[in-house]
Amino acid sequence: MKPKQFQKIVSEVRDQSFTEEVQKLRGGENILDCIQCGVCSGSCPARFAMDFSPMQIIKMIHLGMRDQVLSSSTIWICASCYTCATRCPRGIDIPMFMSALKNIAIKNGFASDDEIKPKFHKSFTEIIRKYGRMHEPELKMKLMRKSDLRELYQNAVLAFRLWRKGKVKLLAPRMDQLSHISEIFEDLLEKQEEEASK
Amino acid sequence: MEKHMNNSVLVVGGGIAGIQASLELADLGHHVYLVDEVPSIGGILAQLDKIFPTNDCSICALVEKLTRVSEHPKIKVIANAEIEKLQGEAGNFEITLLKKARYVDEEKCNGCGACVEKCPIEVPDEFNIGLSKRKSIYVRYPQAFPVTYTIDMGSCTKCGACVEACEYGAINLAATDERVTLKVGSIILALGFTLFDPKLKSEYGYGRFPNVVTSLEFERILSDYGPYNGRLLRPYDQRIPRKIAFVQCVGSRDAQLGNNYCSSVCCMYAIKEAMAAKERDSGVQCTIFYMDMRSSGKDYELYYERAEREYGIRFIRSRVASIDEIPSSRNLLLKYVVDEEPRNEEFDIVVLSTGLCPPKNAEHLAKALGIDLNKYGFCATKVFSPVETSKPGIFVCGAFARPKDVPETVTQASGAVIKATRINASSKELSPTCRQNPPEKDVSQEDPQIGVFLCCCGINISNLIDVNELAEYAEKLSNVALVKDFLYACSQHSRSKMVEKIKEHGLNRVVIAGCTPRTHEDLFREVLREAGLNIYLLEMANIREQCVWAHGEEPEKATQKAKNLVASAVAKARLLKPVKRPLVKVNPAALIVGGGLAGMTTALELANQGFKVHLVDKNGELGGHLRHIYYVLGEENPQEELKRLVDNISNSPNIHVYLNSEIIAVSGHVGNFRTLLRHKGEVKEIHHGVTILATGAKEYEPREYLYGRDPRVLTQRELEQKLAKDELNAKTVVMIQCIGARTEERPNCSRICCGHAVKNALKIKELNPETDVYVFYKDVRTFGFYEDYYRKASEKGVIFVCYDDEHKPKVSVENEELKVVAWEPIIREWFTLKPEIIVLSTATISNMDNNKFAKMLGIPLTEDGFFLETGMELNSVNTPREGVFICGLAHSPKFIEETITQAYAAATQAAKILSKEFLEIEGTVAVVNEDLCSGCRICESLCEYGAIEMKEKEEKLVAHVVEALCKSCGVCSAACPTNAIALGCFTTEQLLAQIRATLVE
Amino acid sequence: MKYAFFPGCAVHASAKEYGMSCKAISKVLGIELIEIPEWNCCGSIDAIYAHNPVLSISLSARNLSLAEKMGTDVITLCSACFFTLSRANKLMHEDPKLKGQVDNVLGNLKLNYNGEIKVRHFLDVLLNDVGLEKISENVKVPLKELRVAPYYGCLLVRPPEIANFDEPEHPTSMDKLMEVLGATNVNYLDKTRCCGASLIVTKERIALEMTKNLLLTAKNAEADCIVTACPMCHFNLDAMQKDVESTFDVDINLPVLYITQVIGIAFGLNVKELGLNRNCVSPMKLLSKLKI
Repeated sequence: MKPKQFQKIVSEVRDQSFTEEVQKLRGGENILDCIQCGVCSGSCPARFAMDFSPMQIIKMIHLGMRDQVLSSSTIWICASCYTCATRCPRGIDIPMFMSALKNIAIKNGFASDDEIKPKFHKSFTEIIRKYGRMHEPELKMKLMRKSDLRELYQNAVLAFRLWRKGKVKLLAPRMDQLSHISEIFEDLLEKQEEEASK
Repeated sequence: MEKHMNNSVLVVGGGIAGIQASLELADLGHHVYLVDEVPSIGGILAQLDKIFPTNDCSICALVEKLTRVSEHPKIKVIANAEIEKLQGEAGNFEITLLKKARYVDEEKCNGCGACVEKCPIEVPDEFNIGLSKRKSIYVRYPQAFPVTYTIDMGSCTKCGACVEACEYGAINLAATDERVTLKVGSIILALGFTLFDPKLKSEYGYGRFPNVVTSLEFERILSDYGPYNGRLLRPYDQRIPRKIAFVQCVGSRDAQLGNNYCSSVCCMYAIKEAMAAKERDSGVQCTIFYMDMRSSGKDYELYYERAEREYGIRFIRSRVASIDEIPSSRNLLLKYVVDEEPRNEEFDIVVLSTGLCPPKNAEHLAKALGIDLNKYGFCATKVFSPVETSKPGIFVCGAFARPKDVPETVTQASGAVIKATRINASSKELSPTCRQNPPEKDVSQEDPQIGVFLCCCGINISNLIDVNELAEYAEKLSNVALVKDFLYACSQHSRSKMVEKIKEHGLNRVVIAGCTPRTHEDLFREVLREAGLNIYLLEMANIREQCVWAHGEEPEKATQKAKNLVASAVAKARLLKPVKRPLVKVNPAALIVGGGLAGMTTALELANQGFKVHLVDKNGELGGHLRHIYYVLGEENPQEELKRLVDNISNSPNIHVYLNSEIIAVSGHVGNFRTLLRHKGEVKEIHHGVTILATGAKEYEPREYLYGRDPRVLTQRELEQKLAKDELNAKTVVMIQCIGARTEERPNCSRICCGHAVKNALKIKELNPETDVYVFYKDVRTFGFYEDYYRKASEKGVIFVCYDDEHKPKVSVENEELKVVAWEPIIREWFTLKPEIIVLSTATISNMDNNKFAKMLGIPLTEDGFFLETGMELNSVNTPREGVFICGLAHSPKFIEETITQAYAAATQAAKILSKEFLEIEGTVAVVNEDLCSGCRICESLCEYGAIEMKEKEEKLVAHVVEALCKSCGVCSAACPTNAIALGCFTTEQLLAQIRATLVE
Repeated sequence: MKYAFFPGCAVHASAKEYGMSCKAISKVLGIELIEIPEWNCCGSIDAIYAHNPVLSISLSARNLSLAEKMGTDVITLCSACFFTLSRANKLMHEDPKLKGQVDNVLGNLKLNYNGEIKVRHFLDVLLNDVGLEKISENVKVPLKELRVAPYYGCLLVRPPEIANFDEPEHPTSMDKLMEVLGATNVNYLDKTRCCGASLIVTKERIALEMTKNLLLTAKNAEADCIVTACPMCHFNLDAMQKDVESTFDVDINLPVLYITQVIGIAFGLNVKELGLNRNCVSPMKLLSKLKI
């Protein structure tokens, strides 16, 4: 995949406000410090699966290539393993700003339809809101594409295997102070929506 | 009470910077205390294999200087001592030192080493970075000065074996530390640096993987005197490596570690080490992993190119992500990315190019002395006062001021001296230094009694050549009275032994069989001087370079050749005659050509020392390029500084300024030059003792990228002018680096353009943050602390894009708009910019005038037309012509602070000559037998140095040698049809005797 | 030795054996782990954080505040929880504005957090509070025949400003423990290479490939088992091992044990108590090698 729009005149593609937006994010503060040494790309264990390397993403942020960055697979493949950030000579917290970029991508509807990760984030959050703790079977159910029979079958096999080893807890977790969790979510999600509406 | 200004200077730090500063000070007649915290001076230079860029043997070059220090009556070395306290002020400092006990009496110990053999304790040898062992009683390295042994009480068991072994009673295990108080007028700090500890970058595995070494360890591995005696082996299994990786920027340019600065020297030392490895073993493959190759010094780019083309060294632009050890082979697996492709590659050894950190004791010392450090812990200096610390009377030089290489360090050390001595100007007695040597013995009536001293050079020579056989052979040669071998003939201990032997056996000629007279002749001449012999009664046979190094695989033949060389040297020695050194009277005035920053700075320094200065400039105004510089990478205002300099010059009664003047001719020699200059149509004659060329350089006028055809294409200098007037109005600015530099035609780097671009980019962002700035570069060469400005520019949103010759940005005009199409190497895509302004970072190129001066003065130029220094002294201002010095852009492109530093160094060198009433010059000059001379003028026409003049004598035209100009090349004597000219120490008779002796057997 | 214990969601569900074995060896070593009553999800490394960082940090903060009330540091078993709680702790220290936002949220719950406790991994406790000496004293069955591949992965040791009890590039804490138990550590390259666990739900194929590489390196180094201290890694390496085998058509069959299980074995604790029957790749062959 190539950033097709890049071949246009950069000043037309370059969205300076995007660079500034990323700079304001946690982890993005010193993104302009990058000297493109390539340590992050050389360290990344998931690089093989990404469309752009971490170094490319950073260069694209420098050049304000908003759309390409937010629609890249890279931000969803970063496994937050912190190998890159531990070695980065500029101390850039790459996993942290990748997280933040996901957030922007979700908000702006950049994640493509076949991208399961936004759905994962959403479902994960919903479950925590519901129980205060993770309920793995429910998460799995939410994420399953019911139309894909092969996937359904594979999941059933896995579920059986795990169940046999006592690794599937069908009963949802219970918390007495679940109201705490609801309050936290209301506080923060509502606030977020308020901010968004401003 | 009248204040007495003290004439002594304290130099802190015994590395090359401290040594150089001490020698210059002492030569200027000052008393010097040279203090080092370790037991012997020499610093890190002693540990290096070769010196960059001359590739000379590092220890050899050092020993020559150590000898001068050890024999200079004005230098007192105080080793193993720390500064505790400073009181007083400039002109009258009082320093308290803590001299740590070495447990060996410096007066009694002669360095014989008997104690070492008996010492039962072995510990890792710091000098070889733990790759070998030393004893508890030790000397840092064999040629060390002071040669006094030291006991490391950390490991000593006080068994007393050494005390028993020492026949001089020098060892006292109960010795204690003592305090010493010194009074000096000024202080020079030459603290050097410490190397970064690569354990802090744990992804590189240093300390865990035995085959990951630091660059300094690799120097020791390469060294003939190192743990493997110069064989290229890897530490784990002492196996010969096939593939070596050099990893750059370890501990440098690393903001996460707090070391954002560039260590400036690692690129070049890595290339040097890779070349040395290839020279040791041409089958080895060397790869250098770098971020930006910073070969920005004089002709350094040529060195880099040679490494790539001639040596086949592989250069990869990538910072290595991690190093893992492969358990089975102990090879190392490097992970890195090239062109966005992740790669894994195996190597046998990895050399970490560790950066330079501030000296360990810097903080403590700064507090004790009351000087400021910069944010990295190096000494804080300013652009226009590069050798001054924040405290008056305390000066700085070498890596402590900023990481720098050996030539720059030596230059700065020399430069700091002129400032340190200014403090004392009012009280100084400038007199030629007088050595307290014994009177010269008259040997003219004696038969030759030749002493042959053989050097084993550690085991460098004795490993290949059978020294015993050679000694037996030499003993049989006629007139040889004594043959003796030495482990290191150059060590202080050996040299005192030689003096003893000369006296004891009544020797009157000396032959040294060892290394080259190029580096060591002066050293052994001192031996003769001390022994009361004329220094020209010495002959050297170079059995190291010419036998060992040339015939390393053939021990028998090498030994045979060594015999022949020794026989030849002895044959010549038999015929050696004492030579008197001629004296030249010195005219205490300087001629400085060029009234730019360099010329003005040198002029002021010399004038302040009380010398007369003639400052000549072809323009109608002083200031040179400085007139067009409006801001710097720093706080200072260059225009104010310029005004200050010009005012000071016009206020100085010692300086005569000649504007709109052109030099027509220079004749004469050191001490006595005569210059003709044309000034307003008049011809003037000036007499002076030294000549300083500060002729500057000029900006390359580009033909590239529409320059001159489109007014929107500017040079950086033109942009700076616009910015100074706030006349820039652009939404997008594109800068293109390396215009006219690093090209096929002009391969060298102009050093300052990256800094210039960063400076202007920052200014643009300061004036209007909305302006987009793109910088297209080949390597960003913001070495040293300039890296901070590069970082700052990035932070302000300046976009840096790397290009190479295959992907140059393309500039065109489309619908009257400027258009730049460029390759983005990280995103790997072409893209288009439509800037309002394109700025070309043009090369700094040499002045055409340089040719004229080079011819007039007989000094060489580089291929680029810059003046070429001698290099031998490692001092960048000396030319082959004595009394002629160079500084500033005329030498090579450089930053303001570097120009000032070099101008100071030129002033120091000039002052060394001007401060003397008479100058003693080299004695091996050509001598004319006037009776035989036919006056044919062949010699006159052949002499490259203009050292032969024809004179009328008794109604006959005869050749006359201007001794101060003669370089002893021998062309005249070879060409003379009547055999009327002979060279002092190379007479026909002597040379024929040598040839005959060589041909025996 | 008494600590507030944060088990995390996995230990209550798919990683029960980790909790069981932890409890068992804690009893032997005199470590008292008191589960934080009414704890909630740690806040997630990424899933909630990417969505709403303050929400994630507030979830962490609630746990921290409950633990602070108990007056001791928090101990986690899961590297991801360890990271998430530590990150929240660190960010609240560094960023007063954020701390203010979180304080408001906690205030509504009548909770507060003063930032006086630390978040620590159980491995840190074993090594630095209990000490190797005490562990070695309790060894009943020295693991003489056992070749282990200690696997650290990512967030147990990185980033160094958060996980600071071991070295990020060359951790040794588990290796040291294994030595004390008498086992032999195999030398293999990928000790700290990410297993891809955080992608197993969303990018299964990518995660499996990362896991495969890791399993094969350990296998090629002739390890009898991998030892891990994280339920995420364990799930990926153990429960998904069959999927790795079928997806890439390789034969691995390499048992993956929790560090607590291995210690329990050396302490002579029984198989059930350590939940060894719950491991997907059966460690029984390995146990018989040890004559258990």
